[in-house]
Amino acid sequence: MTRSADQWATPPRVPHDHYVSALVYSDPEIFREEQEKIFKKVWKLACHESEVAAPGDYRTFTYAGTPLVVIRGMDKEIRCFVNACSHRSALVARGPSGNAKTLTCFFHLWEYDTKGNCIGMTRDLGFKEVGPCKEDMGLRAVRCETRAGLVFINLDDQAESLDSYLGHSLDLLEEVLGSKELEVFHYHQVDMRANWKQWHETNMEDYHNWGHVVNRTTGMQAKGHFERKWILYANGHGTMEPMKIDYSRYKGWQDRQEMNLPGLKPGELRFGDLFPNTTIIVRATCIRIDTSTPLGPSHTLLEYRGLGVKGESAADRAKRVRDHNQFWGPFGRNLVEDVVFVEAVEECNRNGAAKYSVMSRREDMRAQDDALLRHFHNEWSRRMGRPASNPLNQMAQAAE
Amino acid sequence: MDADGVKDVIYQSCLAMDDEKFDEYLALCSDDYRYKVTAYSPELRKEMIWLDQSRDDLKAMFEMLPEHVKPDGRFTRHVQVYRVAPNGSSGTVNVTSALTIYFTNDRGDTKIFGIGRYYDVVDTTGEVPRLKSREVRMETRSLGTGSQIPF
Repeated sequence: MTRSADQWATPPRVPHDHYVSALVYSDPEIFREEQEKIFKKVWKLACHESEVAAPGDYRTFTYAGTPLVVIRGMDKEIRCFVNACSHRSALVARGPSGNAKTLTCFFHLWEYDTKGNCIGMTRDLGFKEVGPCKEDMGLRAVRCETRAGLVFINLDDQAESLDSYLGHSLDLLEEVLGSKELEVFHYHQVDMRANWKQWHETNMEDYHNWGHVVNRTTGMQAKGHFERKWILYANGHGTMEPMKIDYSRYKGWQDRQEMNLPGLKPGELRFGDLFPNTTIIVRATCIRIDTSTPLGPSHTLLEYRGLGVKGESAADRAKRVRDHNQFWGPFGRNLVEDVVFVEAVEECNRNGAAKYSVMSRREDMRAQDDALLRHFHNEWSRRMGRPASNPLNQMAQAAE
Repeated sequence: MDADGVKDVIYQSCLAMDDEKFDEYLALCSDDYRYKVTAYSPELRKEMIWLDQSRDDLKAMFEMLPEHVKPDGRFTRHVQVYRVAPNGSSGTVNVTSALTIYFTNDRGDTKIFGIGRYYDVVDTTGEVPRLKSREVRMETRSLGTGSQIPF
């Protein structure tokens, strides 16, 4: 039965935390508020420690509108700073990566050590009369902590520790990520025309696997696929019980009996979703980490990393890269599909054609239960002080 | 060396892929054909391999493509052969071409999808030149949705 415009705009007849309003994806004010209440408050994956392996190695990126630089100091400690010179605010580290014993601003050549101290003010006699002095002009330090090789930053000086924030959410992945030294072998970005939450919702639901031919022919055929249970953690994180997949069910692919990463059985799948916007997926031999930078209500920068074992043979690396690329490279079978799915969802949310997104599946916390979606949006609602189902309180206003 | 014949196989390979006539594409390739997509990551300061396929890998992939969800539209490859150079005495030639890939969506909007180069090795020992290997060297690294269809 079709529905009229009024019926279409009526909230689904399910509990209020089992759907979200399309406004959470499209409203500019909500987007601006997310920057302040979420992205400037919670821990954000910056990079993997292998990207800043040597003293002086740095990576730059912009998050919540703030240019940042993560640098491994001469003392081997990894730190993060706002990537802005204390003098006239030019970038002090340029390009996406590099190595420097000191960071020298290219504008007036002010110089900073890798601890962020200002150690050089060009022709400093001009500052003698009224200041400032070097000691007062260090870079703005940003909280930076590492867990299982993953480097996180937090723009909030008062934020809880990373360990407290993550809790046990990485328990299933810690052995994979932390037993052997890993390195990033793959990095690419996707400029996506969709809201950041729409992407991460896709990461957090097993139900969309029906849309992937690879998953229909491999994972969903595996024993126990539908019986796995979600595991939810405080602060909006979640994961699911592991399972084993026979990848050779997909035409032209091999099984993954060998070269499995530490702690994994052949073909084993594990993953974890960290609030708000980081997902780690391990498919036996390879790891994908994706994270996002929201650029606008309908505009998101996605970053993908693929990881292998540092020091492995060229032949092993080639096999691992192949396994990674089959799913997740820019020419991968699944990644393209996910972006197409999500951009199609955004197209219907953008101008209010769609009013609600239903997340009401219940299967006793089993794989195709929407439990993690609801958990995510409960955390989003808590941090925003707005229910995701009615973020602008329109129903109350209508009643008045 | 039949330079025109060599260029022709490059151009024919693009037309076959543009039209998604994958059998025609494979017919232009030697039995030991190797296809790669590579790029340099300034973020990692490392070379990356984005796709590395044998002829059999490609054939299997082409057969599965109709099952996959793909961006609505089609790719067009614009190639200009810049250099055809003999490769020692093996009967192969190295061919360097400039590559631009356009994507036209189903509403008729066309955008540049990416740019790069083809580094091809063409076997000229047979009756007609055949592609022995192709490296698609991408300059563009942000590829939007990406593509299951090789370039």
